[in-house]
Amino acid sequence: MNVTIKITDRKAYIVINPDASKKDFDDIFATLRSDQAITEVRIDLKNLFYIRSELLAQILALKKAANGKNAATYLLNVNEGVLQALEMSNLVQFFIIESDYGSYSVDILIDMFHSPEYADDISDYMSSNYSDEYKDALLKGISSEDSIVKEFSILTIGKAQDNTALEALRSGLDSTYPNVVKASILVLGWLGDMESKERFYTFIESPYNDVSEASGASIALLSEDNDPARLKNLGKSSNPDLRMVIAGTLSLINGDEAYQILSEMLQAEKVDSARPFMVRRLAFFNKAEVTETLISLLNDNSMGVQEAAAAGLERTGLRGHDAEVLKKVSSADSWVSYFAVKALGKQCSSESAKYLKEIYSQTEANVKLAIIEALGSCEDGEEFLVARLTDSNEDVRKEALSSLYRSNAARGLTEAKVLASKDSSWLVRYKAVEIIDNEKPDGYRGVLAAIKSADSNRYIQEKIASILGI
Amino acid sequence: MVTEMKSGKQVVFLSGEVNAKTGNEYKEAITAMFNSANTFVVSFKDVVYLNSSGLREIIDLLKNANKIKKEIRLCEMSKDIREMFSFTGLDKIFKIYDTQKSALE
Repeated sequence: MNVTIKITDRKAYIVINPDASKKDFDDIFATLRSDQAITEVRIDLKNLFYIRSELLAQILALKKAANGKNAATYLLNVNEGVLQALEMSNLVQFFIIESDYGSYSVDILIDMFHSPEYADDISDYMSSNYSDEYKDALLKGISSEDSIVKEFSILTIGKAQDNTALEALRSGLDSTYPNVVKASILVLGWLGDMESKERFYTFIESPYNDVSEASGASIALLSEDNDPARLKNLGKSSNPDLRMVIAGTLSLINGDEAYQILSEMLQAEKVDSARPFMVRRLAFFNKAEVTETLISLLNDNSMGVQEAAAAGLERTGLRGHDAEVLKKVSSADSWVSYFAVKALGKQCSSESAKYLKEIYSQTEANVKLAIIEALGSCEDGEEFLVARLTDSNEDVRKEALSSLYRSNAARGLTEAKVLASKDSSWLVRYKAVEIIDNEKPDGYRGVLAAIKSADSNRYIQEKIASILGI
Repeated sequence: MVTEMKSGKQVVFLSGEVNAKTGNEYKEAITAMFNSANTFVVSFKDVVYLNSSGLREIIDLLKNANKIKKEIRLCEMSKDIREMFSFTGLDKIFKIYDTQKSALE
């Protein structure tokens, strides 16, 4: 049979093979016509790697028949070549395109692990629909010699959280392939396999960074009181990548001893790429002294460290140190000033907002933008932001519109509707179009269509075309 | 713990520190609500601190959900919190969305 149809639960499931002719569809249409209760027509194209125009015409006819019953039409498992044909003929918009991995045999699913495009989805599907059949196939995959199949079989069993497969999962630790070892370490960590913890310590100094990171992560997930002390010496390694792994592990473990060790590691760290990472990890310790450390690091020589400190403070809050941070806003070094404003972040108080507005005119351009961004999180920043919408600097206007929208969506939209057609800068107009699209007020498609026909800027044209689907 | 029903999905807002104690409380509270919806959207927007003990509780929550075919979606993580999920590979077993809106779709 070149075309088959099966009706279950008011859904018609149709499979089309490459050699199907117009005549093969006669029975399909007859079946569809005879069953009034159909709510979905699901057309599986898994066997088609290209599509002839004759078949395309039949699929459109199926769509028409489905429409006649008010049934939705789905195209399932559309291969790349077929998708391209649908796109070229502008037909994509008429169908709902989905993957239905349930229509594939388990052997094909395992084989699809080789496809980078599908591997994660297949793994998700198999773990969500985990069955004895899938388990057997995945266990076979773990014992195969194919490193990709082994890796994804392990990950899939891990996602299904099948604790009965621990022995097979542990076997991955003996693999010569780093991707397989990494998968096993991660999965055994998720499953809480304390028996494997000592093995993880043997991998933490692996030359493969992925394997080392996975070991650190799983040690953290299985951590006990004595782990920080065991990690301390590794934190003194000459390898900065390993030191970062240890920092990440200590941060996840948390606790007083882990904090002490990580603080010492940060003080001793000289490598520029490692210090920001350690600062970010240190910011995960819920301690008052961390706030003080982060504030002092706003003056660091490394911009990466300053940025990490500001991000940490923005997330954790200033714990009553607002005055110290505000003092840094007026620093002679504009980057210290910039990151101090960033640190104020979402917890910008009325007092802070007042100070930021006062100091605004005396600051450098980068600080001005940071202040405008911060005021978007303050209750009383609105009028100040509206006043910036007429600034001569397009970056200031754009940032002010963005912050105003964040602070008050309705007022942001009102201003966006004006600026989308009036502002001289396409950057501001583009932001305004984004806001209109985001809010989708009544009649927005007409508004955008009018802007598109009046605006000659290529980026605005393309943006609106993508929104309107034209 | 703040919760809100949206589009037939239960949205749960975690906040502050997610550690062994609070993580367990969140897990128990969400598990107790399993009858109220099939999909639970867990927002990390206001989570400031997270450690491995908290992560273990969140893994347990997923196990509880999987057993009775409930879906857990995580969303609105800061860059640093997201990095912790990525470091532990947990971004492979959880469905993680950038925004609450996309998690609700």
